[in-house]
Amino acid sequence: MVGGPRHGPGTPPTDMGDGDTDNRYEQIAGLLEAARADPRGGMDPLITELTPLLWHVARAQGLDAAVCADVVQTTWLNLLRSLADIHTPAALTAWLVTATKREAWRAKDAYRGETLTGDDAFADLLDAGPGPVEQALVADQRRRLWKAVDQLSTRCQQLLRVVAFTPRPDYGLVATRLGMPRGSIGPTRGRCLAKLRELLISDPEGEWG
Amino acid sequence: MTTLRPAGADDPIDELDLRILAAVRDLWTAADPPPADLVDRCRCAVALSGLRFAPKSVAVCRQRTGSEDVGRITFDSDSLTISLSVGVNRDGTVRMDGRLSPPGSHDVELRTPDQRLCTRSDVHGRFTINGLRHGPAHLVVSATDVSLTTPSITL
Repeated sequence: MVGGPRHGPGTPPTDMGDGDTDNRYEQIAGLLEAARADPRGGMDPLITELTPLLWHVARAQGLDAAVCADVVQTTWLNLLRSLADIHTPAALTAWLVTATKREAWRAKDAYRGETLTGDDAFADLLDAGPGPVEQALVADQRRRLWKAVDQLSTRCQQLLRVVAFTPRPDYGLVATRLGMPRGSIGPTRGRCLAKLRELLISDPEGEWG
Repeated sequence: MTTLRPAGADDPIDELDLRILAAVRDLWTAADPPPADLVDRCRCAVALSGLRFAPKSVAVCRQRTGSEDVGRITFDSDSLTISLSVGVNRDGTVRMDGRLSPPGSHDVELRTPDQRLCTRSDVHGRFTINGLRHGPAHLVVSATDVSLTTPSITL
């Protein structure tokens, strides 16, 4: 699809790998409603759904795994106090992302100098030996994607990591139908995404995806 | 040819963008997934935290006289007995193995001045909390209709 046609009426995209983004947003709206109705008993599905987002937000701040686990747990506890004021999934994810970052920065101050994570998070991934054909294809795509991600600034890497896990109504199918600009996910994030796209399109190894 | 200018920030989001974001998500999910028990820990912390807002019956367990022996401690209450075995790992951290009687699956939280660690006992009432730092701590067990708190122990 690289360089192929953009969105067009009557030609809904298929097999985008992200086609359930809008449904996911609606699903989270339902989970939020349940949690607000019963904060003690109704939070479980929301925690299951959004803990990965909080984890990647915390990890993107450069803290080690044990500290990040505490950060995520504390953020969920803090949410209990603010849940009554949060009415939409967008407000919820914005609150969670901000609260997780704030808690991570607080932890970073407390543990300064001893828990910064290294840049070798992908070492195992890149060293993976060849497997069945499908796995090899996936591994090759990942290797090339990481090679491109690695060329981005640290700031861009962190932003895209968080964006990729954030359920939003404005970069699901709706976005492609309405022709929303990449910058709608935030000007810097939009530039980071555009840069990554350029790197993948211009990959000398050939088409990506 | 490589385009140096990061063009296209104002272009519409399209399928390729969405596939790239999905691939970035898959990449990080494979490279750095959350710990397997993280969701359970968070769920347990919220469940037990809720007790503070609308407490059920709260009881303090009593330490059984003479029960402290080579890292073994037992706490009794009217509804539940908590037996703990505390040991030190090679790396100096502390491991706690516990058993609830009568057996049952309940949320269990260990609280220290700077840590709150949650887990859930299995159907046999057994639970383990590992990687603890030395220092004072107490357990909170959320049983069916009562929240049990142990007196402080020193790990």
